[in-house]
Amino acid sequence: MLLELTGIKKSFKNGTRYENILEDLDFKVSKGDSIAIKGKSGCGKSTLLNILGGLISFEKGDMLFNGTNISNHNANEWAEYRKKNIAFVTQAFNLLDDRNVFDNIALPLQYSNMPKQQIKTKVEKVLHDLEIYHAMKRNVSTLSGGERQRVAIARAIVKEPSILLADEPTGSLDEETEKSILRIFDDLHDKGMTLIIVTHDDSVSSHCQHIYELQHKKLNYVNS
Amino acid sequence: MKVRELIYYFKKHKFLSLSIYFHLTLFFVILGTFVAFKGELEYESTSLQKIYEGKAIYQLLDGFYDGDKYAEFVSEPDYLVRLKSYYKQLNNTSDFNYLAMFNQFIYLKDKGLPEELIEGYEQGSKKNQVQVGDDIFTTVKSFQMNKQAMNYFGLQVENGRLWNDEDFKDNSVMPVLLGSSYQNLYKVGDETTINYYNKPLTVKIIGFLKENSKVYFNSNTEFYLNKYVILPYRDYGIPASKTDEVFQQASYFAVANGYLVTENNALQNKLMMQRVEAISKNTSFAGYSFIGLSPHFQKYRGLMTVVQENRTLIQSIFVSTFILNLIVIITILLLQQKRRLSSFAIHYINGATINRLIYMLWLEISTILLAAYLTNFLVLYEILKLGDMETQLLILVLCFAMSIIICILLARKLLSNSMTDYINIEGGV
Repeated sequence: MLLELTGIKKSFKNGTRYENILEDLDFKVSKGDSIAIKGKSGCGKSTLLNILGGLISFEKGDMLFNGTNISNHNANEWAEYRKKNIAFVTQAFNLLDDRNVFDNIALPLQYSNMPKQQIKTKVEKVLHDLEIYHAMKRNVSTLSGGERQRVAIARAIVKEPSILLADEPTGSLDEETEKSILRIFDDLHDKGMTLIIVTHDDSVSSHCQHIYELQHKKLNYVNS
Repeated sequence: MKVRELIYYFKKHKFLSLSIYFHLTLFFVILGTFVAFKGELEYESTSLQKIYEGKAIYQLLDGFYDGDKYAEFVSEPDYLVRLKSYYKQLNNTSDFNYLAMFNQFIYLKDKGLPEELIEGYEQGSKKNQVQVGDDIFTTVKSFQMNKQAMNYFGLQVENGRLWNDEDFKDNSVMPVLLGSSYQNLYKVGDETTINYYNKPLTVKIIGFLKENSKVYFNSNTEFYLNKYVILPYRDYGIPASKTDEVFQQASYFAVANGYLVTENNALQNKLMMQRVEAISKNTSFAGYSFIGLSPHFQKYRGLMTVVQENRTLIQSIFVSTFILNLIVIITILLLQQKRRLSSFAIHYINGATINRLIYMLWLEISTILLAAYLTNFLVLYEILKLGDMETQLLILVLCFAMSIIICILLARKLLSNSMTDYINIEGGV
């Protein structure tokens, strides 16, 4: 099992009292899975994704990665976990608009202290694969929505993460662009990458092997 | 990577960074100027207060302005002993301050003296030179004073030292102080030759007075010593020759015409006059007279009040402007960096740690602050030569403290909130 959550509890402070978002949640992810997590707005999908990505902590439960319990990691260990294993793609793209496409994609590799030449080779390859090589020198603020999401995906996969976490990745794209982005996700899955996509869009979830629904603070398996 | 990130930051925020940089530079320059100004004002005000507050001054004159009387006095066998004793007792009494001062020119060995230093330059005099052997001597401005005068006017040296008691003894080398205009001609420890009241003397430079050092002299409330060679009024032993006797005669007559300073009240004035009378009788040095110079002191007392009132006013205005500026600068930097949190979130999800982000934050803030500080240093310290190193160190500490305060305020935000709060904001800034 690549990733395993058992008995996860997460709450947020709402005014003066704490409100449980996730309760006694179990979730298993095998290597190469492509999983869609659906659910109503505010049900905790993004919270779950953030827990999986090591961005936020949880109060109860265990989280195992490749069989190792990582629940009690400290801040540096979580940073290391994210750096080596996790990549994020979000609805808002989260690109740095003070730099060009190449430098945005190179960012996670720079945090891995990779030599410059190796970074260049890897970034150029992923630019080719996602058909955005022509935009390499352009500032991200000049790109279309579809191109921006391709850059965000390129940045996510350039470090070859174990898991790609996507939060509403096509939420702000038109139908045509959405299709092209989903094709990229399909390709990544075919190449063996583990994908976990949070979405409320059936057309996105239909591309995934397994579909879960987050309901009543727990994950329910819908179908495969 | 840190440098590259800094370049990205400044490229993206160039106009805002530039305006903050200019604002900070101006802030530091004004702060430095004020601290320097305040120091100067304090010095002026304290020294003025010390010199003039509640004091009365009189000039003591000997009665030998008549040539015949003078000739008669110096023909008496013990006249020099009595004259010396007269001065010694005036100088040592605790009933008043006795300030012996005179501006007798001297001949100084000329190795390219600038015109401004020569005697009578302001009145259009040309270099008055005499040749002794291979050396040329030029008349230069010189001022003589006793230790009480040096202390009373609070003279300070830029470098070197002031006179001590030993310097007023009759040694072979006379220790002299130089006005600030001599800084480029001599250095502390240099020795040269002068001719003073027709007596050749070897002098050693022991210090340079601070620029714009001044004394009250000859009814001039601001007698500046910048262009003067300042000699100590030393005690001399028995004259070795007739030339030496003439030298001592001139020297001691000069010191006998000094200034008396007392507390400005009837009792102290009476005490002072009684003491002078007693010294006169005691040394058989008769025929002295007083000239009251208090109006000058009155004028200075008024000036001092104005200075002090202005000081309080300027200080209040500055302190409020300083606080306001500090708040504005910190707020601008805080707001600007707050907008950066979404950018930091992107770095965070791509492998940066919180510590690394805080370090980046501090680096961005302190780079602008440091650039502004260095510009201020260049402008104030190197170009305008305003203030001292202590002031600059103070500004550097403030600069560092500002970067830490802003960083702590933002770091608290980064540490207390989840980074996910800042994700999903498009186009991290």
